[in-house]
Amino acid sequence: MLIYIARRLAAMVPILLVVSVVIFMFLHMIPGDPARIVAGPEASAQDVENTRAMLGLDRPIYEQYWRFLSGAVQGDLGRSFRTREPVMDMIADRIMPTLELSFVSMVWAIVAGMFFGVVAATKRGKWQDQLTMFGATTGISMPSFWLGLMLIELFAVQLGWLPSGGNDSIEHYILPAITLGSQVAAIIARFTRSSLLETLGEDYVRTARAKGAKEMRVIWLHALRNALLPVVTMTGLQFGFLLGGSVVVEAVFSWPGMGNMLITSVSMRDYPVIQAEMLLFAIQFMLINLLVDVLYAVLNPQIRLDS
Amino acid sequence: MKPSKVFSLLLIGMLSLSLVLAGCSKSNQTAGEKKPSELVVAQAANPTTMDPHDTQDTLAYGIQKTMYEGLLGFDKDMKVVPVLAEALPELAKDAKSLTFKLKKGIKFQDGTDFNADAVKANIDRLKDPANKLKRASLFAAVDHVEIIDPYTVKIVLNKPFAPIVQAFAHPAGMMISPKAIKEYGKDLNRHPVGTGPFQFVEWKDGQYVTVKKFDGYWDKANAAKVEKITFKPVPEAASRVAMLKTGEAQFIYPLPSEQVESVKGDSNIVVDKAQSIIERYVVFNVTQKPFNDKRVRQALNYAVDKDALTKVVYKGLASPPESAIAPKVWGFQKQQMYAYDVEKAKKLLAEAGLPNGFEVTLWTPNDTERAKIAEFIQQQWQAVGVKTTIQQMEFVTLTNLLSVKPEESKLQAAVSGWSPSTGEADWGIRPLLTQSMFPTAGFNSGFYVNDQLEKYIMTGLESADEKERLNAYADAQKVIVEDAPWVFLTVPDNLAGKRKNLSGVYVLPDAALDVRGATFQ
Repeated sequence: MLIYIARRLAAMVPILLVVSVVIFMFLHMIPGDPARIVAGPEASAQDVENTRAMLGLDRPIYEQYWRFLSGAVQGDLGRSFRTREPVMDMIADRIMPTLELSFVSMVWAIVAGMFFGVVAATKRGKWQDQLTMFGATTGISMPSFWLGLMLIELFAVQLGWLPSGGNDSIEHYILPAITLGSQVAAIIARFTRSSLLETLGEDYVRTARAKGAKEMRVIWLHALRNALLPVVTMTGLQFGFLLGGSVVVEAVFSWPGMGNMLITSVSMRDYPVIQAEMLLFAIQFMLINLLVDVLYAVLNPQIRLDS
Repeated sequence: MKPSKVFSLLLIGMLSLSLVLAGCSKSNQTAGEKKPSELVVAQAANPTTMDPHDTQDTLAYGIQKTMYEGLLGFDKDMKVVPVLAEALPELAKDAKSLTFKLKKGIKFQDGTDFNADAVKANIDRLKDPANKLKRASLFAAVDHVEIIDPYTVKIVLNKPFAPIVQAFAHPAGMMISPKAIKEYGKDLNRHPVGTGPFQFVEWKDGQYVTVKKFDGYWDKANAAKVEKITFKPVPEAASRVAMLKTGEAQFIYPLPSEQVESVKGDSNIVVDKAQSIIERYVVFNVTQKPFNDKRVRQALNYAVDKDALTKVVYKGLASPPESAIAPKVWGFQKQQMYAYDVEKAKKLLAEAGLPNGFEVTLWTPNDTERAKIAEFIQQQWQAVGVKTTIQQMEFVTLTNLLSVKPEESKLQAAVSGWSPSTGEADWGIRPLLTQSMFPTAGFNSGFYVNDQLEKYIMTGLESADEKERLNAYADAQKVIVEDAPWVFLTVPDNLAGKRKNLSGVYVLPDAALDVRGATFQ
């Protein structure tokens, strides 16, 4: 297993290299001259040229890439065009709020999603099933932007129970986490339901029942364990999307995380920050994939990683 | 236990938990509610820097103005007033130098004395090309600074340049502690030290900038009345409005006109509106057919009902333009504008050989306001046979397409706008409509040239006689309106929202906030 993980990690290096080239090329293809934006709306041509030189944008593109890459491997991601701060420091400031929010969202999404999925499956066709699936469909189809604003209107403005933005206290997590996690919860619920229904029809479940095992035990221990395999894969992927989805939610709730920073950076063409964030997103995705594969093996010993 | 029981138990559990949470948060909120000694301001974006010499966004200036002051400044109506200077400076007869007498007994927040040396240190810093400061160009006309005595400085210019007075009133001319300049160097943008009523506490990018009352402030009559101000970036307009409604913020800017309705019913909220110095217009590429024909440009002006535009796009929170610059800009003179007249428009188009109209592509940035303007114009031009294709794009992309040389320009017409940050006519006209300001040197993206206008602009630049300058700018405006290089659209209001118990805060016409006088009832 450890060898497998090490090999997978090693394989990430060339992939990352390719990804970094792609990100770099795409960034420089976005229309909009960073030097002009940084220099400002009233800047003269000379100001813009000075700014370009200061940002190193007057160098040939391969040289810029080389500078970025050689810096990156030494842990230096350059300085932000916008704030002139080291990108590393900015990311260090912003990554925890985003990870925390994603984590809280994921936890409640998994708990609620699986719970309601199991309920729906065991009560197939009954009102609990219909209600849960109605909720899940609504959850999936609701744009998080709109949901966030609705939650703010209801819980912050009308009822005054919760704050509308920022991340100063525990309460600040509730609304954004609900917003961010609701789609994932809905997807997990649907997935758990169908996967569990499938396993409930399997022979070993029938055997377990025939042996007189309690229904709760059959469902939670025998059937769910196997039903979880596809759910884990899907949940892992969802976590990746969650990090992406945080862009919108962070904007709505003025969350001081990576998503919010990405929006500002894109509108300012802050290349170093965008590059670093995209690269980080790629790494996260790869790590999550690896984690999913490992979990897979843990849940089902029949699957051998080394093969 | 049966699953159904688990289900109902969990449901009950979740309900009670949410009630408990709700209960907690309510009591917490009451306890933690901002005391009336603290002000929270929510703004649309992150500030970029706290270094006034290197700032290009008015949003950052709003924050800096609590900490920094200049020799001169702008009042609520954009009039130049003395701040750290004893009085308005004397401009020499040849418009080649000006002399400031400084106020005495003023200290920077780090204890350094404010005097002639401090002024020289600031101007020298701005002028030093090695510093690559974004506002250096504003002071390009300054040759050097002479210290006459500890409280008198003479600014010597390298050419006659009358608008230099406004440059010193511009926030870019705010004075930084010379000690801080030495000590922090490049990191000054994170360590602001000025003479203002508030001093810097902390800046967490993306979260807040906080300032606190400065007890050693020289102007006792205008000392800070609140202990602390927090500026928070809240990019989403609806979220800003929510924060104002819940009282998490007591002042928000901007308040988009489409959000005004949503706060109208709230008796705790006041909408502040004041005319801006922004002029919105459609710029034509005058080197291209059919826009090289003045009659066509005039026709398209007649074809737009500006009153309706104000009502439809801005819900009445704007005014039809009265010249090529807004009324609060120094040097403004009201002009005879193009009244809405479809028949006249059609007649002019027919005279220009286009009785059946023509097709045009209109570029616009994709923000709600300007996209709506473009749609409105599309409908209006339709009535005179002009078929308009709207091309929306992100602001930066559009800026890129507009800042190219004449031979590379693909522009036909674009929704544009300008806010002259020095508040005077020269900066409202010269960067947009003179030959030397073709992109990329300036913003004359329609490549308009008029020899008469160039003459008036030069007179305005080089004369030290205020009357003569005002006359020159009046003539300039007359020429521009008559020649119609633009469709003159509107002068929007600056809209801010504030809690009813807050006073002493306002938005300046140049869209920078002034919250120094904030006080709660």
